Amino acid sequence: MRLRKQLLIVSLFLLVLPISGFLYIREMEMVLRLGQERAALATAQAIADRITSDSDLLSSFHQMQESGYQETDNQGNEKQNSVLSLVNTNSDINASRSIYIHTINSDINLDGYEDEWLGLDIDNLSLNSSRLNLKAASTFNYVYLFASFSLDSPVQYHNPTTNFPAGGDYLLLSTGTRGKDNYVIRTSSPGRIQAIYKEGNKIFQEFQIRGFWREANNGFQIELQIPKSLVKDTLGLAFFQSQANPILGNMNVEFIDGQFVVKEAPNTKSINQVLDRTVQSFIHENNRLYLLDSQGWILSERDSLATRESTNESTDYEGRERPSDSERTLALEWLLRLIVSTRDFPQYNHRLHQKGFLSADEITHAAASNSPVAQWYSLDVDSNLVRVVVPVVMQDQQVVGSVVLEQSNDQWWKFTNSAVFQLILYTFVALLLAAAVILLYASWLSFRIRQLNNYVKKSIHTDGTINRSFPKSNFDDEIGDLNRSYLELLSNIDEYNDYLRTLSSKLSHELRTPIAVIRSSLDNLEFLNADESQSTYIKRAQEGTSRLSNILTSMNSAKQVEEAIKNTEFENFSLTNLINDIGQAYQPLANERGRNLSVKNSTSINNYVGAPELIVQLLDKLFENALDFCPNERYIELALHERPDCYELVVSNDGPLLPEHMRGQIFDSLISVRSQSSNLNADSFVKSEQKFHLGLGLFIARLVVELHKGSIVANNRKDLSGVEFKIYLPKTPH
Amino acid sequence: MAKHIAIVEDEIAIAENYRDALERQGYKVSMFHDRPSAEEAFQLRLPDLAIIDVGLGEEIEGGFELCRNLRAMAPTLPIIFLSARDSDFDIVSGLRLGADDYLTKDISQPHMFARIIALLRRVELMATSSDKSDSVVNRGDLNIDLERLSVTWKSERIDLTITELWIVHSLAKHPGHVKNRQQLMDAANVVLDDNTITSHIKRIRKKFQHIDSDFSSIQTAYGMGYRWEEKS
Repeated sequence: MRLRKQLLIVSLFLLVLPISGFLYIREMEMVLRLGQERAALATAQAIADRITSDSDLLSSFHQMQESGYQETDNQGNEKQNSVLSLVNTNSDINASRSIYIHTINSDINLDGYEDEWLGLDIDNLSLNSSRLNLKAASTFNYVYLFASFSLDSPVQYHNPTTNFPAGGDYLLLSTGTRGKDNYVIRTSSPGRIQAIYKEGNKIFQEFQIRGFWREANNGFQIELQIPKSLVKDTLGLAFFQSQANPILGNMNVEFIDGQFVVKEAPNTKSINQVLDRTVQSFIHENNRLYLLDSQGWILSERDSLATRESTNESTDYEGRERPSDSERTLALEWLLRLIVSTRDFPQYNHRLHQKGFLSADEITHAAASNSPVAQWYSLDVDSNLVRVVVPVVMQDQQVVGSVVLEQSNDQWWKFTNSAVFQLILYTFVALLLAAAVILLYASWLSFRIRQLNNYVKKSIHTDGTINRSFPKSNFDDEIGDLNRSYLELLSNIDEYNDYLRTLSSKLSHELRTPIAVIRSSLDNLEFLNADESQSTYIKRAQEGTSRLSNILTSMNSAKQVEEAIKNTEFENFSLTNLINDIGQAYQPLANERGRNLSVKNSTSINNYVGAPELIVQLLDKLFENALDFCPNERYIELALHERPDCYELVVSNDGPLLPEHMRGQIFDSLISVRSQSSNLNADSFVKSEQKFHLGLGLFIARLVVELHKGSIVANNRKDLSGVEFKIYLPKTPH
Repeated sequence: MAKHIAIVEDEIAIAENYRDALERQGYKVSMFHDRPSAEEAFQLRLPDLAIIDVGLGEEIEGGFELCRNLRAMAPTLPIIFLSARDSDFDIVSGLRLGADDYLTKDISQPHMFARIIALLRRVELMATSSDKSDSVVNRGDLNIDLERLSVTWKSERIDLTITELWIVHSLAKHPGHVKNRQQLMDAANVVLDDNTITSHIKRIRKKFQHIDSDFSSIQTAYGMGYRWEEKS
């Protein structure tokens, strides 16, 4: 794998940093949430303790716990259960159901219509298979009651001539447990009602209880106004109809001595003002407090929670300290939310299923386990709400109610928005910066390694010579060391190469002197000694030295030629004349060997700058080569053409083709293709030394062409009739 | 009278071998092993021919130095370099300093004798050619006086070595005729290879062009040789 790819993959691990950042933020969010939860619990616990420590407050839970049936009044008078004679003897009695009395601000006009009630946010208490619908509310002075009955048979109104309690259908109202508090509501016709009660054997009418009876579809509806002073802590209602069953109402009645008596009237439920005032001091911003009795009725409700359910997103932000600017931070804010609000909390349902009543699993749970419970809800996309429940416990461990405190983490948001948000921002910026720096650094390192690799690749030419332009690194690190090591290595190789290159010339130089000594000595010896047998050996020794010196000469010749070519000076001359001249010079040579030479030169190039002697030498070599390969009576062609940007010299001959694999190599030093064509005619037979020189000749050809910045190619003719050598000389090479 | 040949060679074995060989040929030979002693002797008496090694003891190019000094003392004295160094650069340097020939040390004795004889004969020829009709050649701006070994171009004297002089003479004698390298070598009584002739020709051209930048009388017949072209 390439370094760059590896780097990319390794850099992916940088993502661990933001991930760990996310985890950290989530952790912190959790800790904060836990803290908030603790604080809320503490508050709730404090409220619960406050209530427990105050017997008055506790009694407001306690009272309501009591069943009205056993209640003793303050004076200690055992109330005689007023017995109401009832016509109906049916014992099918409803379970007692409490009525929650909502607090309202203005009085209600007693007219028997429901209109005003509809404007209030009060739910029906639906009883007896929806045949009785009850609503209750209280102002400062009065308790209002609205009930609508749906009946199977028409109402039989009170006949004033009959006895107590009523000469017809009637309504039993219980506002307390004493006999006095049981009223019979009756009317002789739709309209104003009478509320009567029995004390001892006397029957009184209670004028403070007012009401309006109005007929309605399938029954009637009644609106009652009861002074608060009359309503103790229970409120029950039951309708007795002489002809019909069952009894409609929300309390249990008994049929004793031919009369219906209230067996158990349900407690009223309403906001307890004392409790309300007490807990007020505990409640601050963004809290919602409920005090519940053991059944879940709300005894006190304090709400300072800025609910956002009904508001839309845009106004949503207004309550919060928002970072002043703008879209960029919005993106980051979104990110923050993404991190922290992925928790899977149940959706908070603000609407209770019944007004005045609160029930949730955690409340039941807290009451059952007698221990505080906290539960988180998700409020909307980005904020959560904690609900803590602390049970209110009496000394005897009996749970009489619970404190429910709800707190949204908007506060947390406010608090963290500046701090955490900035933290995230900085962390992110730092992270990006670090990542960028690390990436840049890594890229730089890999760039240096690649560069070094390139240098190394370029440092050795294809012909094995060392490129001396290997740059030296100034960096004082490992790559720099590597670079310098390479430099050292290359310069060592270069020195060694140099040594090898100059070895032959040095050797020949050094050997020449001793050879000269031997040779001149042998020459002298030859004269001094006339002995025939000795002269044979002298001759052999002379031949040996002569061969030795030839070898030295040929060892050195390539280098000599190279040097000579390098030192050549350019001059201005006519290529046309040059071709014509050598054409004339070659003609006799070609004829001598039985070949035909044709010269094609239609150009007039008189201002070529170059080394004519070398070009002639080059053409000599090519011509010699062509002569050797061209069969008898065939043609050799010498041509000069002008091309758009260069001059083209062509030497081509009929004859055997070049081997495919030799084409590029042919001009490298010391390679001769002739050995491949040993089956040629006798004329092309050459001695091994000459073969060596041919290779050298083509090498020289390449050097000459390179000197002129041109190129030389050897190819088979297109029609495969022979071989052509083409030399391209640029028009403006120098 | 025997010709006097001076051998300046730091390798005593070679020097003595050559001395023996040359003395056998009837020459009078004196040997010097370094430049100062040779120069001292030359101050007193000039030899008829000098064979000089390029490297002389400590002095790597002492032979070149000696040649320069000797050439200054005797413009026509034949000087042969005999060296183990055979690169073109050395050869060209030697010839440029005015040497008449440059031989490598592994040359065979007969070959060397041939060259020595050729050079000596050329000097003799000059000495005896005063009565020959072609001792003075006039070709337009060119004037060659073989007797005085002087060449003038447009009446200005050009310093040519003896080899160069014979080459010019050979070319100018038959204007328009192409002389190949062998012919030029024969004319100059020297045995040189092709490249050396080319170097000589180039140097001759430069010497003429030094006086007359329009000089173009020596023309190359590529692949064949050179010819003297009269200005039209």
